[in-house]
Amino acid sequence: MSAVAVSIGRVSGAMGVQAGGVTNVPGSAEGGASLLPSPAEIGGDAMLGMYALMAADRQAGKTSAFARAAASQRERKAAIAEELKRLQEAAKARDSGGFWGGLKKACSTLAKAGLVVAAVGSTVVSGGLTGPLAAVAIAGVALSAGAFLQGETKILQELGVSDKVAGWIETGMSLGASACMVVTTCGAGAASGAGAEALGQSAAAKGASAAGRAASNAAGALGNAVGGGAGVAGATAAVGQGASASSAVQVTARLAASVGGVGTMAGGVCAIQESRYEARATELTADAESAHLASERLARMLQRLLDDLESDDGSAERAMGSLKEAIGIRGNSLMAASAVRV
Amino acid sequence: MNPLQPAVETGAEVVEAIYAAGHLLHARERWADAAAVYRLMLTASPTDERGWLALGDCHQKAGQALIALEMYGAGTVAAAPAARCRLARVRLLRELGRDDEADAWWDELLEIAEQSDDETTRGLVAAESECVS
Repeated sequence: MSAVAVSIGRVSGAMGVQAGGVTNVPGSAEGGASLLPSPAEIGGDAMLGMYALMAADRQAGKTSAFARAAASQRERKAAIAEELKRLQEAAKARDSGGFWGGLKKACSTLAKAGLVVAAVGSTVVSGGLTGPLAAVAIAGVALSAGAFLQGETKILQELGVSDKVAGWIETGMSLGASACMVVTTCGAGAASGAGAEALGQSAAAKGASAAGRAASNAAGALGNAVGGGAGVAGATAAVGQGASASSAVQVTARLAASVGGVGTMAGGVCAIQESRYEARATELTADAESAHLASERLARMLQRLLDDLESDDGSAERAMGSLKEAIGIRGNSLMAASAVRV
Repeated sequence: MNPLQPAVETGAEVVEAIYAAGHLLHARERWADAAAVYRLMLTASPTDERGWLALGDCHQKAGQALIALEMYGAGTVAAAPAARCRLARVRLLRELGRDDEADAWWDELLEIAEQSDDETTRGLVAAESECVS
C-alpha cells in the first residue's frame, strides 16, 4: 500500500519539530514545541510549490519593472496585459493538469461518495475495508464530524461517554486491533500455556487506567492459548467478509463476535490444561468477556454516530467547499502578487 | 488481507495536497473547515499521523478538548506508535488537570522513545522533557 508507506515515512522523516509555534500548534498553550508538521518539501508539496511559483513571479516582476521604466505608456500597458495573461494561463494550467488538478479530480471522486459514507460505501463495494484500523478511521472521522455538527457535549452524551472515560476509540479499537493481530499472527499453531500466562501477566500489569488495552492483550493471550487453526480461520472469515457487510459497524460487530468466540473457546481449552493454569485461565476468560462487552458497546456507539451522520451529509460538502476555497486562495494569491506589481 | 488498507484509494501526492489544503485553512484558524479537510485526508490515509494530530488540534482549538483527546487517541491506534499524537495528548491531559493519566501516557512515550531508532522522535521527547523540567 504505497500511500500508507509514504505517509508513515513523512511522519517519521519529514516532520521536523518546529520551534516557537504559538497559536496554531497542538497543545502549545504550555509553551512546548510545535507538533504539527508543515506540509512536505517542494516536489511533493502543493503549498511550497505554490510559494516557489510566487517567488519566481516576483523575480520576473523585477525584470519586467525595469523594462517598463524604459518603455512607452502604450508598451507598458501591453506588457502588463501580457504578463497577467501568462500568470492566468499558468494558474489555469496548474489547476487543470498539475498537482492541484489531481487533487480536484480525486476530491470530486470522493465527494460523489460522500465523506463519511464514502468509507463505509467503499467497504461494501470493494470489500477492502475490513481491518479494525480502518474502522478506527471511520469511528474517528464520524466522531469528529458529529462533534462539529452537534457539539462536543451532545455527541459525547449521546454516546454515553463521560469526560472520565473519554478514550473509547483507542480503548475499543485497540481491542479490535489486538483481535486482528491474533487473526493474522496465530494461524500457524498453538502457543504454550506458559506463553499465554506471560501475556496475561503483561496485560494485567497494565492496570486499571489501561483497562481496555489490558483486556485486549488478555484476548490476544487467549487467542494464543487456543492457537487452533479452526478458531483463527473462523475469525478470519468473519473479518474478511467485508463485501457482504452493509457497514463497517458490521465488521466491528463481527470482530467483537470473533473476540467473544476466541474467548469462549479459550475458556474450554484452558479448562483442560494443567491445574496450575486453571486460575489464570479463569481470569483470562473473564477479561475476554469484558473485552467482548466493550467491543459490542463500541459497535453500538459507532452505529449511532453513523446513523446521525447519514442524515446530514453536510460534512462532505463542507470538506469539498473548503478544499475548493483553499485552491482558490492559492489562485487569488497569484493574482494579488501580479496586481501589486501593476 | 491488509488491515491497514485505507478506506479510499488515493495517491500519496493527493494525500499530501489535501494535507496542504488543510494546513492552509488551519493557519487561518478556520478550525471547522480545516477539520473537514483533515477528515477527508484520514478517509484516504488513516495511518497518517499528521491527519489525526491536525484534526485533534482543530477540535482542541475549537474548544472541544474531549473530542481532541479521542482524535489523538485514535492516532495512537491507527498510526502507532504516533509519538506526536501521544505528546499532544499528554499536553492536553495536563491542561485538563488529569495529571495521573498524563503521567501514564508520558511514561509510555518515554518508553517508546527509548526503544525508537527515530532521531526525530527521541529529540521530540527530549525537548519536551527539558521544557517540562
